[in-house]
Parts: sequence; structure tokens; C-alpha cells
Amino acid sequence: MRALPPLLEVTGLAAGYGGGPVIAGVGFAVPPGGVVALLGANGAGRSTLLRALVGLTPVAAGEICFAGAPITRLGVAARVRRGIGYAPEGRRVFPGMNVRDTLLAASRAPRAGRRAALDRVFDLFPQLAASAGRRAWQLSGGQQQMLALGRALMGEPRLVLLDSPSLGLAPPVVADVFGAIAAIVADGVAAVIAEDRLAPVDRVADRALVLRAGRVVADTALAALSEDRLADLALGAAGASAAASTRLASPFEPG
Amino acid sequence: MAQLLVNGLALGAAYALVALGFVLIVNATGAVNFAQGDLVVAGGFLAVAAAPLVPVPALVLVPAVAALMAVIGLVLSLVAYLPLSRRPPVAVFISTIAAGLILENGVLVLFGPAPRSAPPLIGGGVVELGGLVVARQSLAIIGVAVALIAGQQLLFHRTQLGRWLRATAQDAEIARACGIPVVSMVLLTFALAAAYAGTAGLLLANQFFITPSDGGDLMLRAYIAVTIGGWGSVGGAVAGAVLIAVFETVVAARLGHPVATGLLYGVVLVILAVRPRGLFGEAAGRRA
Amino acid sequence: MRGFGGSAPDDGRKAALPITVGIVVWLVSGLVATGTPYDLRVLTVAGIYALGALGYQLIFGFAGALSLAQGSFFGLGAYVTAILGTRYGLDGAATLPLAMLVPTALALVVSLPVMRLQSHYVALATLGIGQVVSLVAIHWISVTGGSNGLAGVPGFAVFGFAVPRGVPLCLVVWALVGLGVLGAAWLGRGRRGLVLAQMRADPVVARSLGIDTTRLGVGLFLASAAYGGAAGALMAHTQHVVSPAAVGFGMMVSFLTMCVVGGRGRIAGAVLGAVLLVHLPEWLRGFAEAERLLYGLGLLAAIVLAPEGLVGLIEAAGARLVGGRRAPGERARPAPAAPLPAAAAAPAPLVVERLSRRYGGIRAVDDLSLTIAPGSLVGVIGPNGSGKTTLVNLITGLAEPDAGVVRLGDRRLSGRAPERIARLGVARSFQAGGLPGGLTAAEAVVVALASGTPARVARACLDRVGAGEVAEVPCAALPAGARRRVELARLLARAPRVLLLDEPAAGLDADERARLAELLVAERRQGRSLVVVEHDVPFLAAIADRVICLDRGRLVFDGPAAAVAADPAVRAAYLGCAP
Repeated sequence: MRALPPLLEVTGLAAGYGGGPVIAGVGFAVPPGGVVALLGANGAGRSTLLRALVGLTPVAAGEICFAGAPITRLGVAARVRRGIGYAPEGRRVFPGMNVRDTLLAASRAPRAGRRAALDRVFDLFPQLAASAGRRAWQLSGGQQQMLALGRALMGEPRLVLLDSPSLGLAPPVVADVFGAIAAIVADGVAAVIAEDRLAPVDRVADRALVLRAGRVVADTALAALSEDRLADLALGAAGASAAASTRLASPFEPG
Repeated sequence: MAQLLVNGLALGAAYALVALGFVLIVNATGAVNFAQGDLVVAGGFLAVAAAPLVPVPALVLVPAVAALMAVIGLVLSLVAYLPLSRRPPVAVFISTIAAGLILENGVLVLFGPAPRSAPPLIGGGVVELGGLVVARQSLAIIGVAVALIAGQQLLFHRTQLGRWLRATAQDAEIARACGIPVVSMVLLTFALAAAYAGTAGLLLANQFFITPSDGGDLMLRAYIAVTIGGWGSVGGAVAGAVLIAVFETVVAARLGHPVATGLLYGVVLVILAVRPRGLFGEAAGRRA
Repeated sequence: MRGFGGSAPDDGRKAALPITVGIVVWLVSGLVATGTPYDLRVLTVAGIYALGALGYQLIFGFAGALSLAQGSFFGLGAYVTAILGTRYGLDGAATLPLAMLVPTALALVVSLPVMRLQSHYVALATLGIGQVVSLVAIHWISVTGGSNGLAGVPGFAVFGFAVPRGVPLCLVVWALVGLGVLGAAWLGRGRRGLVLAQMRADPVVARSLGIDTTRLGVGLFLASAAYGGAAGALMAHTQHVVSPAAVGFGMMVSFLTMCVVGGRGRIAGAVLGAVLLVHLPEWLRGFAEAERLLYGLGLLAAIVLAPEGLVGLIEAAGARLVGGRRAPGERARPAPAAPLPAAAAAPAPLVVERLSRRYGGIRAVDDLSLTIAPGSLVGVIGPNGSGKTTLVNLITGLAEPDAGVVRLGDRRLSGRAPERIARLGVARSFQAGGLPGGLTAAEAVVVALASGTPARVARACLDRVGAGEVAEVPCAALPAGARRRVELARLLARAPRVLLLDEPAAGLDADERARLAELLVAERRQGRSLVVVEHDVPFLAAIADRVICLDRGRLVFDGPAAAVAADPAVRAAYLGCAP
């Protein structure tokens, strides 16, 4: 692993809209084919980080390098063209478009390449192939999530940013979705997957990045992280972290 | 009565083209295009101006007028939309009022205030259809409008460009994250909306005459059609436009034009009073 | 009436008023002294338009609503005058009041539904009203004269004393414009002006600060109609003819253009815009035919290139001139000592009883009961979509419960409008603060003060949160931390019994969080009840008596803050572990 230069390298990143940076001082790296679980409680800044990586949220400071080149100042379309796919929180499928059109719309390849990409996504998600003509708003939550994943893959990315793919899905559906994600990363696509909890991502990820209040409080091999330790880190339970997670003024320091 | 219905449908077909452009812009940008009616007028007068130059049926003029109007739509979006896309919607509303004013008075300066008429699409006269005497022009208007609406549907649902246009209209931010050139799609939408409005002007200019000041009324009808058809719904806009035209034609035949128009606005005001967000609210899930 | 106006202009800077008044006085006096009859006539007409545009500024600029009815009010006034003048021989003493009264009555009838409308539907509805008025003017021939209109309207006279054309009429008209300016200045002055800026910036936040936005909007709509009617009456007396063009959309566009070109929300802008646009065609005689074309170009140029209008440009130039010379220390005036407002009523417990609210099929808040004692601080945590913000909305009246009730002491809160609940002593913050960018921090706090409280109390509120030094800084220029503090100061200015804060620490650094924590603890000691929605558990643990955790609208934990992070139900809910 160490020999490979990182595919994605983030240093000192701060980002957020209007009301001040939601994340600050974030740094981490993803090797080619690596899978990072982005963990932390809600409001910790996971979505903001992913949005900043794809270019939807303005970066206030820091640098993002992708495949050896800085992309911090590139627009969304340019980043996507370089091989970043994004599946947003809450899926955000195009409600009035059917599955087939949604997927084809996310491709910039000429007709033949488009078809090939579509076939690959349909192979990966037989459920989508089966409902190719249905409009997105008619799909179940799990199918919508798969559609969002498939849409992120249509540009043939080297890195996918998946924001809370298990959100609002029943456990068996979550298993399906992560089965598909496992198949994606098995193809050598690197991934950063934002999740609340460890259970679904530990199947696919090899590293974990834990955020709290917009800062990285842990960057560790996934194997070293237990549910309990994650809960302590994410909730900031006393003594959980040596990082600057509990720098409250002393009169209010929890005992 | 059947005769009246055909006239109403012909008017409705032209209105539908106006409302279609209006709703496409609403979907792509969230903005109300107040100049939509004046684009119709501009298209009508383009046809009036071109007619003496080309001694052919006006049907042949349709693509030429549409192409010229598309250019005007492009200019409209570059001047009145793009510089304001990050400002509150009221700014675009006002800038399109200004653009409408420029179009209307540009036409007025060039052509004068009198009503004008474009040549018939395929020749005048009437045809008999199953014992029904129908103006040839009415049929031609309906035919052209149906073809254009079908064309829009084909473009949007059968081509890659159409997929990009629809994705942009559904969720511009995510469309961007899919690598779709969203700004180009918005420009294209304006061009398309203007082309359709201009063609509507050509269609209306023969049977119903056209004056430079007609824009306001046409815009208002498109606005109403989109409101009663469900804000953001393409099918609803077309249906709403036809409904308005048939209502107007039938009521006008009985009670006169002023009463018909007054009733139309009255109904809209009542709808807004009862349903402050429009008849079907803001259609979210099922548009396009 | 929300969501469309966006960020409108600000009334914070007043440098332009004297400059513009100067220009206009110079223009009027110069023309009155030396002008030809024709010049005077144009100037008179400019004054009439100025009056109508002033009225439009009230609804469009002050209230932030895109009404398109100003042309109708103007035309209605003109027709009333023409009918009274030609049929009944009445003069200005009767026509002027009646021409103001009739449009105001029409505005009153339509105002309640119109002011309820959202975003651009205000424009559609007012446009529809205008079209109906226009149709009546054209087709009710026996009364209005139809397309020909009414001719032979007598010149302006008051109780039989005729005001001759030329200098006297011009002066009378401009005197009325002066009255109109005074009236508009009164409507937009002092605290009301600040409140209007808040209402334009964010009407929902305005309501949560106890501002009755509907009443304000309706009031300004009526006033705009009265101004329009007065202008119409003067026009009828001056031109002696009234035709359907007076009620047409063209007239409406003229007023809109004048306000936008002059400067939206600025009194001086309406006057300057009217003078300029009435004279423009005179100065450009060669383009006589294209007068309206120029209007269009001017309007487009103004909205794209100078969104604050001419007056905005003058202000910016003035600020550059003045700003260069002013020493930085000069801005911060010494704060006169003022006590913080004390809660208006005795502390009372906030009781939430079996509260439920669904959205679609989702139970956002599900059978939730909760009591918050006076002087306690309750932290609220829970995953996204667990109902935290919905709970705050239900307590503050932004959402209506499907079942259950919220009470403050013995007063029932549920079913009351947000501004009523706010006035009972409930104050809340929003995730996105809704500070009016153009107001200074001190002015933004004044907005929240109860009427009758001296404005200097705002300074005390800012000092209390450690934001005294930014009192004179425009909110738009404040960094995130300072903005949060100003929002908090604004809530303290409400002298609340209950304070609900939605993610107050978001975007703050560690030091700012610590200061916020101290401040919240101090407020609790004053006997206020605090409810703090926050994701950061250590932050809450340091300050809260009690933390509750919501999960899918239900209460899954209610206990001491120290125990929350260890509680299995919380860990399950918060981290989504299978329960």
C-alpha cells in the first residue's frame, strides 16, 4: 500500500457556506482502490466534506489533490471528468426521469460508451435493470439508492464519494446496497463512504476517518475501531480522544 | 358549437406553445419569464416581415422564424438571466419585464401600432370534414402545434441532450455533479422557449391578427395555464393552455370577449385566494 | 408573501437623501424661476409620477412584495377624479380624498388574500386585478367613456379656488410630493424601518421576533394604493383627459422602472427615478418614438448593473468620499449604560403534552411529552430527521401539531401565530440566522426590542454577549462567530421566558464555543428556560441540567447530561446501531 502514491490527498481543508466553515483542518489520503469509512455523528461535517471534495461546497482553505494533480480550484464538471463520482445524501434521484434515462444522463461518453456503461451498471444492479422504465419517484428507497450509486458510476470514476447510502433503509435493504458497494470496490474503484455507524461499512472499508464538530478526531485502520470506541469518539465522551475534541473552558469541563 | 370548439382548439394549440416555453424556463431556472408574451409578438412580426420576401406558404417560414427566435432567446438568457442567476428570483422577474418592454417597443418602432396579419400556413379557405366546415388555417395551426409539442417530447425523452435538459430541470445541482453542462442547458432552454413562442406568434398572426401590445395578455395566459396546470408540469401547462383557450372562445361567443377575459381572471383570482400556492401546489415529484 | 423579495436594499445609510433632495430642490427652483411653460408642465408631470412611484416604493421597496397593481390604483384614482369632475363638477377638495379612498378600498378588499400569497403569486394575482380594472375601464362605456376615455376634466382647484397652470400648479404638485416624502419617511423611519428591513430579509425570522408581518404588509399595500390614487387624481386634473392607458400595464411598468432605476427601498430613489424617467424622453427628443424602448433598456441596465439604483450609486460614492476621511474609532460611540430588559412575566414551566406531527407518512414528532422548568437548561440531541427542529417549530408556532398541546404556564401556545407566541416570551434562533445584511448589529437587535423599550438597550444586549465592539458594523460584514452572538443578543432583547436555540454552536471554534457555553449558563441563572438543540454532546454536557435524545420523533432518553453518552438507547439512536 505505501508504495502507491495516493489517489486522493486532502490537506488542511476548511469548507462551508456563509455561516463559517463547517469543517476545518481536515487532512487524509485515499490510495488507489482504497475504501475509507467517513464516520461521525450528524452535524459533524461528513456531508460538507464530501460536497467540498466534489466541488459543490466552496473551499475556504486547504488543498485537494486527485491523481497527483491539485483540483481545489476546478469546477464540479472538471472534477467529475477526472474520475470522481458522487452519490448525495438523501439520494436526490431525478424524480420524473426513469431509471434508464437517469443513468444515461450521467454519462458524457458517445452512444456506444454510454451503452456499455449502462450495461455494466445493470449487471451490477439487476434490480435496476428490471425496472429500467420506471420513474425514480415510483421506486422504493433501496432502489433509489441503487439508482444514485449507479448514476455515480456512469462517468466511469476512479473514486466514488457516497454520502450516507444506508440512510432511511431497512436492514436487509442496507445489506443489498452494501453488497453492491462491495462489488463496485472489488472492481478497483476507490471510495469514501459517509455513514453513521460501523456495521454496514466494515464489510467494505479498510480505513476509518472519524469527524466530530468539523474536525478529524481519528484516522485509523478500520480493524482498530469498535462500535464502542466509535461511539465514544463521535459523541466525544470524556477522555475518548487526545485530539482537540473537548477544548471547552475549564469551568464547564465535564468531570 | 363544434366549429367553435375547433377555433378554441386552434387558439389553445398556439397558447400551448407559449405555455410550454414558459414552463420549460420555470423548470430549468425557477424563474418566471415575463417576456414570454413579447417573444410571441416578435415571432409574429418576424413572419409578417418575412412574408413579402418569400412567396411561399407560411408553413415554410416556421423553421426560419423558429431559428431566428432561438437566437433572440439565447440573447435574452445571456442578458437578462445569466448575470442575475445568483440573485433573488425577483431580479430575473424584473429583468424579463425589461426585456419584454424592449421587444414590444422594438416591434412598435419597426412596424407601428396597427394589427397585422401573417400569410396563411397552407392557404386560406375551408375544408369539409364529416359535414363540419372547418377553416383550413385552424387545422394547420393545430397540426403545427401538435408536431412541435411532439418534437419537444421526442427531444426530451429520446435524446441524450433531452436527458441533460430534463436532469437540469429536475435538480440542477446534482445534474452538475453528474458532469452535465448545466449553464449550456439553461441557455438552450431559453432558446427553445423563444423558438416555440415565436412559432406561436406566427400561427396566431394569421387567424387572430397580432399587434405589438399583445405580449402582456399572452404572457398572462401562459402564466395562468402553468398555474392551473400545476406549477412545473409540462403536460399540465399544455392542458391548461387548451382549457383556457376553449373557455375563452366558448364564453366569448356567448357573452363577448371582455366578459370572457374578465371571467378568466376572476376564476384565477378565486383559485389563488383559496389555494395560495396554485391549484396543485408546486408540483415536485412528477414534473417533466 | 415570502421567499421572493430576497435581500432588498437597506435603509442603513442615509447619505443619499440630502443629496437627492438637494438635486430636486435645485431642479424645481431652477425651472420654476426660468422654465418655459412646457418645461413646467413636464416637471409637474414628473412630480405626479414621483408621488405614484413613492407609493409603489412602499409596497415594493419597503414591504418587499412584487405587487403589480400600482398602475391600477393610479388609474382608478384618475377615473374617479374624471367622473366626479366631469359629471358632478367636483373639485380637488372632493376628488383628491375620494381618488385616494377608492383605490385604498379596493386594496383592502384584495389585500388579505394577496398578502397571504407566496413568492411570485403576488405578482400574478395583482396583475390579474389590474387586468380586470383595465377591462372595466375599456368596456363600461357609459361610465368610463370606453376606449376614448373621459375628456374635459376641470383643472385643479380647491374649494373653488383654481390653481392656474404653470408655476402655481407645479408648486402645488411638488408640495404634495413633499408631503408624500414626509409620509413615506414616517412610515419607514426609526424602528419601523429596521423592522421592515428584517421582514424583507427573512419574514419567518421576523415573525419569530414578534413582528406581525401580515399587518405591516397590508398597511403598506393600502398606503401604496392611497399614494397611487392621489397621483391619478392630479394627473386627471393636469391632463384634463383620462383614457384606459392610465390603468394599463404600461403605467405599472413606469412606476416599477422608476423605483428600480432610482433605487429600490429608497424614498429618494422613487423621486429621482421619476424625475429622470419623465425628463429622459425630453432630453432625447430624437428618440421620441422609442421612449418606452429606453425605459426597457434603463430598467434592464439598472437591475443588472446597479441593483441598488442611482441612489445606491450615490451612496456608494458618498461612502467612499466620507469613509476615507473618517477615523476608525469614530464609529464606535460610547454605550450609555442601560439595563437589560427583564422578562415581562414571571417564569413559568414550558409543558409539551403528547405532541404529534406527521409529514406525509413520516411521524416527525410522535406522542412527545416534556416539561421544562424555569431556570433549567435542556439539551436536545438526536440523529438527522429525529424531529428536533420540528419540535422547536411546533413550540414556536411555525408548525401546527396534529395532536397534543404546548403550554407556557397556564397559557396555551398551540394554535397561536408565531408572532403571538413570541410576544408571550418565547424566543428562538434559526440554523440560518436571517440577520438583515444591511443593518448594523445594533440595529438588528433594535428590531427585536419590544416597542417602548429604549433603543440603547440594544447596546446592552450586545455588550452582554461580548459583541459590543461590532455594534456599528453591518451584519453582512460580520464573521460567523460574531453573527451568532448578534443573533443571541437579538433573542435576549426579546426578554424571553423561554429561549430555544437551534444548533447555536455550529460553525464556532473552540474558544467561541466556550464563551457561548458561559453565556448560556448565565442566562439560565436569570431564571430563563433554555432548550438547546446541538449535536456536540460534550458541549451540552458542560452546560445542561438534562439532555433528551429524540429518535424518529420519540423520546428515547431523558436524564442527566453525564449519563447520555453512555446510554445504550442513545448510542443506538445516535449511531444507528440496531437496537
